[in-house]
Amino acid sequence: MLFPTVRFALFLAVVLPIAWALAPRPGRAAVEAWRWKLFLVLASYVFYGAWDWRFVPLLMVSTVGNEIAAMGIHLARDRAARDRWLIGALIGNLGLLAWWKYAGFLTGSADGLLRLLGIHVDLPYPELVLPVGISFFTFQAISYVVDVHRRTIRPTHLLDIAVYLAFFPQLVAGPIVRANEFLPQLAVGPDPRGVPVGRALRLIGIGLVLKVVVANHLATELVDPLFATPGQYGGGQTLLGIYAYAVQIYADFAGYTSIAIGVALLLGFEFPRNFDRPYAARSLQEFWRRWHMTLSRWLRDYLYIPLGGNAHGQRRTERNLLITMLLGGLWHGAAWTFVVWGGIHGVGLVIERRRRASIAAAEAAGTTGPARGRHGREPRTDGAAHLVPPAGAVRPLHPVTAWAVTFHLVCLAWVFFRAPSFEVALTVLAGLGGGSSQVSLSPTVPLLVAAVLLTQQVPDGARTRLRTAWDALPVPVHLVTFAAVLVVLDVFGPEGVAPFIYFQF
Amino acid sequence: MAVRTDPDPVLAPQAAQRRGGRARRPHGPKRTGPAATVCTVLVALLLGALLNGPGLVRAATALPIGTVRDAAITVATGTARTGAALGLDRPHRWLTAVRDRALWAQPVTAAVAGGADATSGGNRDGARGDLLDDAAPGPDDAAAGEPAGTTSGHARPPAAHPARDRGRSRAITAEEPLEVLLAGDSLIGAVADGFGRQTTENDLMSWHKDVRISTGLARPDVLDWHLHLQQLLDARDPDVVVLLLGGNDDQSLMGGPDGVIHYGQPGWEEEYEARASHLQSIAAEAGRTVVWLEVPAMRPARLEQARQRMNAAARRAAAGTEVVLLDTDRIVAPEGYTARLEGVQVRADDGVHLTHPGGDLVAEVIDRVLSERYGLPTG
Repeated sequence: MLFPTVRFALFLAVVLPIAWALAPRPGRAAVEAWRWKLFLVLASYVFYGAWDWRFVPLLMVSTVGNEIAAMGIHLARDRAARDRWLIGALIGNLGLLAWWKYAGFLTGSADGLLRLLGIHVDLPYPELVLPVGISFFTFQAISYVVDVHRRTIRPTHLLDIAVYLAFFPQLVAGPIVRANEFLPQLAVGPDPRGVPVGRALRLIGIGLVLKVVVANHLATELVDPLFATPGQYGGGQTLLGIYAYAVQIYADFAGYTSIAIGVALLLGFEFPRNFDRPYAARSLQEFWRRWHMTLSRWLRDYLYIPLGGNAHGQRRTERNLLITMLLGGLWHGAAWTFVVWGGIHGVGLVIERRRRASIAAAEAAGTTGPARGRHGREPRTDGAAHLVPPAGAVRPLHPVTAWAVTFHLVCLAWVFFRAPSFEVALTVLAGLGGGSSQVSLSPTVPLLVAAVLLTQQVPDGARTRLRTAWDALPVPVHLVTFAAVLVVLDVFGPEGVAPFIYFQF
Repeated sequence: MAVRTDPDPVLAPQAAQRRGGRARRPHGPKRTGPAATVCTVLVALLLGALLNGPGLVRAATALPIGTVRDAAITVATGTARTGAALGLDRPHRWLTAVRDRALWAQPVTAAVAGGADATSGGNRDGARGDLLDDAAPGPDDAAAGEPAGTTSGHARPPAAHPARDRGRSRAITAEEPLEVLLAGDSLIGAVADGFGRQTTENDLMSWHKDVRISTGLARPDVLDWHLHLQQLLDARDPDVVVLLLGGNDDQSLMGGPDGVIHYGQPGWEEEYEARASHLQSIAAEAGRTVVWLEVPAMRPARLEQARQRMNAAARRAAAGTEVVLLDTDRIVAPEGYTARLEGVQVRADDGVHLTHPGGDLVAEVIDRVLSERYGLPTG
């Protein structure tokens, strides 16, 4: 069930009043909470089953399996037993993901390698339909059992875990909500004072416009045709097409999570933010603090840090960064193009890290002269010239240059992310050197690209002031505005709505 | 409303839970009580529905034929009428007019012209004669378009073209290249893109694709392909029309002479054949070459069964005409449905659509067929 559809609107119109009617109130019996949670699970299964009912049992199996593992970890008598339960849970979760998502990729890769070696073997090719959202609920399940293993949370009831893994606003494309963020909210129930409905409608409205108008328009007008027949486009159009994809995937994914956060808010749940002006980033490190933030921190806490993080010297840190980004790339899709996407980010992060270390060293060298204070930490009072690194040292980039370099590196990586094959990716990149073409483009494409990129540059302070002022408006204003947004979607949206890009992950 | 504060909106409830009490809530924006929240959302959706009457009717019409659709149409039509009576449809009409007048009126399809040098492309094994069933010439029973529903999308208004000779004997030059229209449901997408890649550097061919997802011959109420194709031909005046339809036609036929002909009931295949025949005859007007791509083998059993019926109906429709039937099974499913062919994934994970390489394989054959027919170099 896609968010921007009449079907989902009807679903929400039914679920929302029932959920609030069943919501536990202060001082009432626990049975109220039980009924409320059971309803949320059933509604979520209906939502998920609208894609394919066959996958609902898969979600149930994941729920029960992870709950058993969490209880096993919690009740284990010694460390070794806890570790065994955890390893079992990880094998189960990753095995599920590997089978559904990567079996075809691994078989295809092996087949390709054997053919390269001149060996023609008919490997059985598993034709599996990827269960939508499997990457997201599997990551949430892993975070639950790992947190129980780390003793940062205690295992909870099966029904609670069922709600946590299946909760429909974030089930199929995130944000990746952690157990220690969600379960406490589930335990206390929705705020009896209600919800900030203006904020919720704003998030849903913005998300709908981003997805239905911006993302779909850019996709149909330029991005899809460019990546389908890249040889037809001139250099300028190709560059615009790459920028357009950067904006499209942002609008698509940020749009989805904005709707998800808004819908969850209407049901009384607060989700973490998932995007924070990623194209304002002046480094890749900053980009990953702003892009798909819930995935970034998941990778940091459940992959990068367990690998050793930055605690074991430069080489191990760089290795850990690369592994994290390569696996992050593979998480996005079962294809080597995604691995290259992760690799570009990984190598970029390593280079940035080295540059930062060089700059810090150079600045330290520039501040250790005789004019420094007696304790070596006092600021100089005779101007900043002494802080300038020695000649020939690595210098920080000008902010505009840093932004431009970061943005174009991100765009370069997006080409591999979007392209169905290396051949197409390289053809698109080669097209940047092309001349003019006979293809005519709608002026709305550069306008939309520029509008989204420019709004990313609006400082946080101004955005917060705007949001606060908007949220403080009377409810009827929110209501009418939201209804008006629906008109805009119907008029300017395409016929039918394409699935969100991140559903395939 | 009392304002409560907590240092951390996430950890605070957890701490309170551990203490056995209810968590306090964070300080935040203005809140609306549960009943008011529900009412606000429901009123917003209702107002949105009243403002969007035409869109609601369109969405209801596109539902699968049955009682749910009938009920949805009744509700949507009633909502649309109420909205119109209250004058709430004006913003929609005004915005629609703005869209259609201004630069938003671009078609959603891509129009791409061919490039410079004509080079020959790599051909796969399989001779033309094995793949094609070029029906014997016969009487042209072309009929006028039969508008039985609405066209979808924002089609460019038909352009006037001087009468041109579209016969096989016309001189194909870089100035007047062979114009190929590839149209159909989502199945044609990969083929059209493959054709575009195949002919990128062939300045003797130009192509245009028109992909209308979730459409077919079964549901003229969603998109009337007869009317739509006629509009496309009026606008583009191509030499060649390549058609691939059927991916969504495993359902009841709407708008037949007797209303609805349910899938599996007697008369379904006859009606489908009549619609295919009608479409082929529209495409073949003015001496155009028509290439009808048979629906390739599918993994979903219901679709596989249905596509065999559709292909049989299309073959019967093409019998006695000059329509070129192209058996796509011989290209991408020589021994029945397969996801991979010679180590290359030719079918998408859904078991229905073609992948880029799969589309390339079919496009190569189309290119070869047209090149032979018009005496052009391939690729």
